[in-house]
Amino acid sequence: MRKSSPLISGLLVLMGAGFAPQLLSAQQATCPLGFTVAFFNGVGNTYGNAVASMHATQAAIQESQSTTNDVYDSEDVQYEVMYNTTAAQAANAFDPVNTTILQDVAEVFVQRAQELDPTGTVGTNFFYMFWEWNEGAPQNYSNSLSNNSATNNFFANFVNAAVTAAVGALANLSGSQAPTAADYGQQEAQLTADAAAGRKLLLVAHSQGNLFVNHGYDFILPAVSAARVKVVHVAPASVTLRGDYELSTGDLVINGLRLVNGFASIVDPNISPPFTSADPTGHGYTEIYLSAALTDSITQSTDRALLEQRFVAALVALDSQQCAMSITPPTSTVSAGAQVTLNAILTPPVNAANLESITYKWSISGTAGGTFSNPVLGNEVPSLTTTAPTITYNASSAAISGQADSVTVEVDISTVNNNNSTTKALAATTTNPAQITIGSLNAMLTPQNPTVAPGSVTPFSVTLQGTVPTGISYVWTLVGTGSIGAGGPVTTTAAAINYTAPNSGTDTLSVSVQDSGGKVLATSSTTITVNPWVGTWVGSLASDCGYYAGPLTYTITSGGGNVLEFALDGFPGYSGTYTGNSAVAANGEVVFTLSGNTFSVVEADSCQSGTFTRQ
Amino acid sequence: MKTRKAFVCSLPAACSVLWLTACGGGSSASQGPPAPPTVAASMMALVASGVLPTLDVTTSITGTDANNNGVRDDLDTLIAGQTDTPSQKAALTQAAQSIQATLTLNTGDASAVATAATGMRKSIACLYAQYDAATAGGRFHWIQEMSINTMPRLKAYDAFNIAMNNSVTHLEQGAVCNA
Repeated sequence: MRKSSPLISGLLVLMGAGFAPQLLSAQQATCPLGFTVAFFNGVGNTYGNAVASMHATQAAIQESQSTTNDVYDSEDVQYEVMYNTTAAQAANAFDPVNTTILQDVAEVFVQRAQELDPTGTVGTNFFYMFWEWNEGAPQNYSNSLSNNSATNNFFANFVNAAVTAAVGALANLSGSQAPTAADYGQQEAQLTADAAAGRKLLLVAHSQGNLFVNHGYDFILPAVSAARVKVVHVAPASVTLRGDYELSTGDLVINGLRLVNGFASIVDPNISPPFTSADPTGHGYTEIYLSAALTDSITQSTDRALLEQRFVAALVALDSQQCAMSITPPTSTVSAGAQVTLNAILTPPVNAANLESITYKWSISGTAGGTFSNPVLGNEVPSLTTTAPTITYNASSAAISGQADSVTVEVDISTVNNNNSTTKALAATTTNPAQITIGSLNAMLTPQNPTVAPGSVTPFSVTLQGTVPTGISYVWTLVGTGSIGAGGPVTTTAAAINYTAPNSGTDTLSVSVQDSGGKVLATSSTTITVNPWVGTWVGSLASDCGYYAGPLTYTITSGGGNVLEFALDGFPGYSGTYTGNSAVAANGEVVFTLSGNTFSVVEADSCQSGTFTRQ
Repeated sequence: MKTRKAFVCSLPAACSVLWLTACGGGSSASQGPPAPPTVAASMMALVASGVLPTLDVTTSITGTDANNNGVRDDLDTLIAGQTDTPSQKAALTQAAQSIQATLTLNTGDASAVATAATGMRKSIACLYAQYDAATAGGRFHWIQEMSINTMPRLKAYDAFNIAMNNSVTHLEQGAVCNA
């Protein structure tokens, strides 16, 4: 292949040629975004031909998407021309780089024209017709040569010679003039940059471009994986392919190459359009393979439609979801009326350099009836779009235990240069939504079923189990003759209340835990037994037969039922029973008689007696 | 006849051929059936009739550009004679200018090469902006064919293509048309 000029060599250095794609491994931590279509031109193309072919490819892709914008599925599409000349067959050791095959073809034209017309008029005045061997003007000025009986098939013969030259050049690309590292350098640098930017690559090659595209694909594949790079080969001159292809039965250049390199060297044709004088070689990119005027006899589709289908198939494959969307926490159990903060996580994240805007579309489905709060209208909605990856799920206060909602989020993006087209789902949690289950909230009132002393004040508190929504309140109700404050239900925001016992009887204290809307989330209750004997009693004993006489403190607690437990000056271990205002202990030897807040005690065998007052 | 001869003879290489044709091949014309026209004569007749374009085939790389618009005068005439819209003709002129600019380029000057390449990309983008996609490429091929119509011009043009060998460039966007 042609050696690079000093100019290009300099550019290669500037472009960082020689980057190994493996060095990009860290760059793979970005979600692929945006498409780059690179075009590798055909044999004998001028730079302008290559640019025009790139535009033709762009037009075909836009046509396939019914758009005039450089957008595919709302992601931007950029176009790159990977230009390579075709070295002249006439190159030699003394002048290896100065001409391209274009000059070969032109010289063939001039030489043959000289034979046809020794005056030189044809070769001079109609020199321009040499262009029409392949991608020439649609006017087909050369028809005037073809249609002239005196020319004796001059132009057809010239085309054959030009094709021979092209075939020779293509054959040399696989041999003596194979591309060198310098030929590939700038392409490698650009593909490396595209990969680093997280772009998806569609490589389109025509004719000799297939020899370059194969190298480009193999070079960048380790960095991006097959999901991010696809190839469409057109009129492939290469022995091997990296993707789908289109090859015409009437492609004289590739057919000639097959004869040179062997039949197995080229894939079989897969389209069969009719001959057209617009391109007698049957090889032109736009004249043949992107022609909307030529109908393939195999599929009855136009060549253009078929190639567009191959472009689209590659783009569809590149467009498959390559990023994972998830929501944290993935599962939650909440109470009715509770809230859960959900976070959307895109893995790997988007490369911010390509991003114009990003939105998150949240949606709820399920039986629990949860909602999002619309910050604009202030209403509750089942779906909402946010620009931040966070949202608050509000569990319905009407939900009951066991009901559940699924929350999904779709991340939509708008990329730079996508002409503000409708955003698309870059990734979604359709298959892995966040699950939110309504769980029960348990309330436990403590102490449970206490026995208290008459007139005593006992603090009660509520312990909650489960997710507690914000804004809850406690509604206390007392049935009995004790007191918790006001006459009716008492509402507190604290989970505690004081109970004042009556002189006797059994009360029932209940608490209802309610959300801000008044829905009861949980309840608990307890009975409170007022035992007139329970309490601390202080007095003194007297004995007229020598037993203890002096001060004494009785601490009486309930032993359950009619059992009383006694502690004397702090020493427990004594039990008794009571009936009404009478109680006995020590097998009936000690008799207590209650009268309001005092009781008397008599123990006959120790001659002791005394009076004690409730403290 | 005098008028016709003067018209075609603005193209030196064509003069002798047409003169011979116009004069019936000299004194032998009066003897026997007329000889069939030569290929050259037939072709030049097509030029004269307008079927084929009249082009500057002088040895000058740039040809005559009397109005200094960066396009050979014969191409100006050719473009003006098209039935295209004024905007399309302007795009054709821009394309011709971009091609012509490459012919006198110092291909050792990277900046100059890049500027010429940008100009060419813009001109082709302009063609695609002014014509439908099915036509635009053909219009570029046409103006390229008309512009690069001699071997010296092809060699000069080829030098630009070689300077662009192995390059990677992007399609131009935005304001791509000069007029």
